Amino acid sequence: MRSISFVSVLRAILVALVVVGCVTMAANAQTVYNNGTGTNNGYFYSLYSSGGSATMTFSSSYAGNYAISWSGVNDVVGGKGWSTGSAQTIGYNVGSVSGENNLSIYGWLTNPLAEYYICEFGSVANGTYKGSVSSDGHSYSTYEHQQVNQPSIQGTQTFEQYLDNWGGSGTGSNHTVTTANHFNHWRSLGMTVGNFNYQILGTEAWGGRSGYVNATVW
Amino acid sequence: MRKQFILAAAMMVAGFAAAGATAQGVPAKAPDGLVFVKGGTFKNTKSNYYGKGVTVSDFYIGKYLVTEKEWAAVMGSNPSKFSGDNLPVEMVTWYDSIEYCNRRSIQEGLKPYYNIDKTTKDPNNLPDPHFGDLDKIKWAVTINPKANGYRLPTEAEWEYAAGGGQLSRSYTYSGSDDVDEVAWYWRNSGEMKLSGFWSWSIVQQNHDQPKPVGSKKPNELGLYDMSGNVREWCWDWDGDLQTNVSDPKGSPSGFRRIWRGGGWMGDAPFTEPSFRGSLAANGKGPDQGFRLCRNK
Repeated sequence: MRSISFVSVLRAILVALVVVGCVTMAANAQTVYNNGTGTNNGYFYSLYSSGGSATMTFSSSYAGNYAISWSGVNDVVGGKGWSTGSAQTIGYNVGSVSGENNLSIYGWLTNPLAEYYICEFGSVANGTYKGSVSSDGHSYSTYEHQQVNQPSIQGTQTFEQYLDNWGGSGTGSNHTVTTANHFNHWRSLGMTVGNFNYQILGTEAWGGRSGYVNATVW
Repeated sequence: MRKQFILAAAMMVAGFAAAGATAQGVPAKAPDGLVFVKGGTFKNTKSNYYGKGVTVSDFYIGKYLVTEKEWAAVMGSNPSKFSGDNLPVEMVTWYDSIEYCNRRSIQEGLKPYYNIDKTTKDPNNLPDPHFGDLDKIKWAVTINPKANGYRLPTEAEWEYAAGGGQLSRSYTYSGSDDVDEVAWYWRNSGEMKLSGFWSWSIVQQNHDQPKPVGSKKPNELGLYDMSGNVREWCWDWDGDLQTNVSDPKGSPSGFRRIWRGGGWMGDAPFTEPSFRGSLAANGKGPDQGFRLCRNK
């Protein structure tokens, strides 16, 4: 049998302490660098970026708050929300936003599978124009976009994207998105609203941009 | 002498009993790579077929997903996006899978299970009411129900086997209530364990991909990867589940073929044996493969 030296034992203890330390730091982390997913103050969050850099932080004052800053990214996607969505009225306040392509209520539906955006800043217009819907004091243009053999929460699938595009929101004040109005409008157009999967207030940017968003959802 | 005979007889009986225990009551010798599945009614209380008067007959099913090595040995090429002999073959359409079954049957001297008519458009392959005619192939495929060749499982056979057959413990996933114990799916199929909500961007960034077959725990029947890794084509058209019937084979027509088991790209609930997914027969992706079956 090989003897275990004092130095080996000491080294093992040090490694274990470093590992435990890293795990503890990760568990308490309030800053996400470039990529990360998890829960914060009872909300799901996620940050993805490629190229450049991105940082996500959370305020301790508001459970649904997050801030993302990005620089020279090919692509950044981040947000905060619920693991299971609903036809709920969602409140949000965007302190500031710049360099984004869109800031939207984003989510997935199943049976049938569909991916949806209700766009508050920027634009998600794509696919076939289906009409418009008035909600929360303004008008959204509705588009439907087919995705054939594309990645989804179920794996490679053929599904629809439902896109309600406004983009005229402002910063520094509370806003509401009465999602039921959007879901009912889609139903009226034959765009089936199935079962709710996750639902978030998300921000997307791409194309080498730099920018910042500070938003709170409830 | 008499005592020795009695002892030998007792040992034989014990031996059969042991063999029976490992083969669900029937000491059947399964062909290489296949597991014998004793038929019957659905014991799994989470099954779509539980208490619905549906039975399946005895059959054999692959212990593992069809690998890239097995595919290349029969077809001479490898369509997979991710490369590795022991990885499950992916990027295969339903038609590719059917063709593989027949070619492998011929290679092994078995009677092909499928009649594939590539010159006739299948009138039972309907346009998708929402997406139109996505499937431009539409081969007319019929079956030789008594043939001993390789075939895809029916949806009912797949769910029966994934749910543990007669040995079912009614797990949420195939072989466990802990998804990470038995399934490769988006959270555990890459460089880091992911949490939060599903995002294709994140899945890509994490270099998620299929994993070597048989690298998680098997289910009650000794079958691997029935939950997760790659999704598995079944024979059936997507349609209403049949009840009070033996060996259901699905709707007579449709516009999507059933897949089961979920895969590395998708979320955990879609790896549950009871989840029914479907895709046009010419659809394919890096998470779409299959598993072989044969008649007993």
